[in-house]
Amino acid sequence: MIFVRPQWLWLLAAVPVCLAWAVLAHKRRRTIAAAYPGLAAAPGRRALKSLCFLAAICALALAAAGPRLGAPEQPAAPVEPAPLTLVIALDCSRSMLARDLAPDRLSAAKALVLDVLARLPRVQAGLVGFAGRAWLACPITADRAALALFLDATTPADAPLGGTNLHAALEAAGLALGAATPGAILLVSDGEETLPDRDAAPRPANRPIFTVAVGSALPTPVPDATGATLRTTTGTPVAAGVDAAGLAALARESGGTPFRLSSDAPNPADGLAQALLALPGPEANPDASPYRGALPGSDTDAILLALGIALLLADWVLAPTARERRPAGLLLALSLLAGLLLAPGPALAASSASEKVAQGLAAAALNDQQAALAAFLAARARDPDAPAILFDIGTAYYRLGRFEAARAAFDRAARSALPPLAAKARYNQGNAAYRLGDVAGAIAGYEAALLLDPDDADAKANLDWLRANPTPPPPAAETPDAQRPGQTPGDQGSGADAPSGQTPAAPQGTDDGSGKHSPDAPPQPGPAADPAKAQEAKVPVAAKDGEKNGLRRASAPGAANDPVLNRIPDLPGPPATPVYTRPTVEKDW
Amino acid sequence: MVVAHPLALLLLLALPAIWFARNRTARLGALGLPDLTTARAAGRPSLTVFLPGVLRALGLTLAILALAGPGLAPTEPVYRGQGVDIMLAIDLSESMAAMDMRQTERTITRLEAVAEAAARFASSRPGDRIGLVAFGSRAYTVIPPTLDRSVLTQALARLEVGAAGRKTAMGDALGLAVKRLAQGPGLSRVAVVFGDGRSNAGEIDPQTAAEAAAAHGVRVFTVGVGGDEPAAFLVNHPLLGRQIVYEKAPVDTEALTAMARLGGGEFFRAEDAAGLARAGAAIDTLAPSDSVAVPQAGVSLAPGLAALAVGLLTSWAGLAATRFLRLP
Repeated sequence: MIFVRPQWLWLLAAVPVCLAWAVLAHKRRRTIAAAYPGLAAAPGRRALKSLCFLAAICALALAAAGPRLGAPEQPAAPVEPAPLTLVIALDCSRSMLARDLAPDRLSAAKALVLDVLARLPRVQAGLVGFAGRAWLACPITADRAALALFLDATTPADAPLGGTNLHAALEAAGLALGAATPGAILLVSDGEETLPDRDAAPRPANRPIFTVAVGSALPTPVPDATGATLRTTTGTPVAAGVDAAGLAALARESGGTPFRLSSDAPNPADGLAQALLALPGPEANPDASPYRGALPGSDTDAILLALGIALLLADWVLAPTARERRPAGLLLALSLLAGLLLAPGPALAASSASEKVAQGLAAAALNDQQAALAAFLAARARDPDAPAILFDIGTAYYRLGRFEAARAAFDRAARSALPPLAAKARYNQGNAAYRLGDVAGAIAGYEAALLLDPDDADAKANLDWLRANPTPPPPAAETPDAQRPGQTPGDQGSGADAPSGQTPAAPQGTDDGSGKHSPDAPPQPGPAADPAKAQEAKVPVAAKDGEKNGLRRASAPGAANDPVLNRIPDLPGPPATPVYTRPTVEKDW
Repeated sequence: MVVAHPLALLLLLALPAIWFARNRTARLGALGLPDLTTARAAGRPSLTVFLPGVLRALGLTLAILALAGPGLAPTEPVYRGQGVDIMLAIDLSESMAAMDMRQTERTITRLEAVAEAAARFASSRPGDRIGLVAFGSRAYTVIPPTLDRSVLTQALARLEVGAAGRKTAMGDALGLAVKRLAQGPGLSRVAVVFGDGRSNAGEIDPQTAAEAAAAHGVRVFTVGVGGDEPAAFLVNHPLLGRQIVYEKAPVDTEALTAMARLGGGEFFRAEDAAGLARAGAAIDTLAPSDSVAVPQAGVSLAPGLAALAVGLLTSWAGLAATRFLRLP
């Protein structure tokens, strides 16, 4: 037996406390009863009540800790950790055009971002640009070339409002991250906010923010659109410094690490990449796994809780005296107990069956057929005649290569199911029979499926093919790993997306005259050539300053290694009419 | 907020009944007193005598609530699997302003119909990365392949006829889509081109682009949008104001078919909104996704409620053993 929430086991400390109270009460009652014999309780009645109460407290405390009987429900195969999702918030205010870094702060920041991303091959990244407002320049994507393209195109000219607003940037980055776990924000800025200080700006919860303070410590003049020094309304030249301390505080507060990009500090790219890689993955967070028993309620919990409530009610109802009402009170208590334990039985069974089915579907989604089968079998133990569960069991057997059992399960499911599911079950029964070499059985299964659902193109194709070549499959094809099931078990209960999940397994569409006679070939096109290789894509470096406008050709960001495709100009962003005016702000840097 | 066993809440109705029954037996009295004057002189008891009863009833109520199993609703399912990388290429040339897409009650422009169909197609494949290329005289990467559906829906809603120029660079659009897909990590890579087929601008022609797509393992599906009849265009005439002009905007079926054939996909003809929906459904089945929704567990409140019940009942037991001892 294991406990899924062992931290609640300390509640059991209430049991000795209550025992102590019971002993104390017993002593006081005995003292008083010695003086007034009329106040003595019936022999054993108080002890029975105390026992009920103590057992009830015990049951409630155990229920809170969530005991599970049997083998622990751990996935046999480790869950593949989701890669980190990173949103880069890039400061595009005018102060980022200060030339204290070569060639300017913004270009240096872009080069740093590309450098960091090149060291994180599996990370999905998005880009938020911000000045006085923030905008999503590139949604979270695995396409590095596109990200480099959008990064290159993000300039102060795109900003809908001048200034620097870190609050808006963090808000937009949090929105872009959405529910992605694990996620982090990389804030690249010179940090000097131009807006009046807002009190306690809300930050994206649980998202570590890594900050890079860009620029040298000495205030540097900021150029304006024409290249001359930007001046305030009163004519004093604007000099932008770096709020490294503020950014560092922001990073530490959120659980991230601050970094510094300036001419006199070492390049932070390596340290930044290491820090991002060192973020705790989903394995360190047990709640992220669907397997850790965090499901709301479970049958053992509910039974323990019901037992506890019944004992509490019994303790309450039992009269301490043995007067004329004795049999009635005792009977009432016993019937309450029995009723409480029996009445919710079916409801509990049904809910826990669907819970097991959900676990099985989750395991099947992770391609852990053994665990899926165990979960579906457990579900059937709770709800023996549900055709959807039988169908799921058949699918799991099929995927495990146990076609005899799969055929029996599909047969049972088809007997009790409604037509849409029954047709699929018959079809899969035919598939299983074919895998067993029973051509006649397979034909019978497909015919039954077509009888139930005359529009089933897969069953029709398989039937025609089988009638044309009634030969059992070569035994060499019986490799369970290469087989695909007749149907993914997803959503069988609701039957929502039936046709899309139907990837027939056995002799589907192979008689196309191409001479290929491998009925077991999976119908999907092959997987991507080599994921690992594809992810180590070369990230092109940012274009040099001064080449921002005009069409970019090959060797620009977004280029593919194909001379034909590289003739196409890479134009990022929505083809919208440009905005020629934007609101002016007092501090446009 | 979800409740696992709502029927258990019926037990709360049993509490008053038991309270009533218990009080009747308790009212029988435990001890006969010869004289009540001293007791009466003490006056009404203070309200604290109700404290143990309230604590005990509250503890029971919380235990019953825990049995009902309330919990925070599970978060959105997580999609597992490789997924499919899809780029939608949408024509923004002038001919897409033709108002010949019949819906049940109204007629909308080709572009509006395509945007709606694309949004529906994207929402039906939540686990796949979908991006957007818009093209006119030039082709633009609007959105790279992403799982972020809200961005895609917004971008689709913002598409305007003529925003990318008056001509049609269909080859460039397909090539750009192939560039975005070339390094996609997905199970398969699919480009869907919505347009009317007459490519008259751009660096490379549609056939070359389709061949490049095939070379990069991208399947090309093409959807010919619009009918062959003269279609209505809403025109803003400088003198006559807004008026409707009928003009032929035929679909170049052959070019689109050739593109699809070279790209290993299929061509669909959509003369109305239903045709677009059919094309979307067909592409859905021809390029199936392996992504599966993994339901996420919610947060159960039952342990906390049970713990609170244990605490309240323990304090009741303490009070009932000391200050509020009941006899017999």
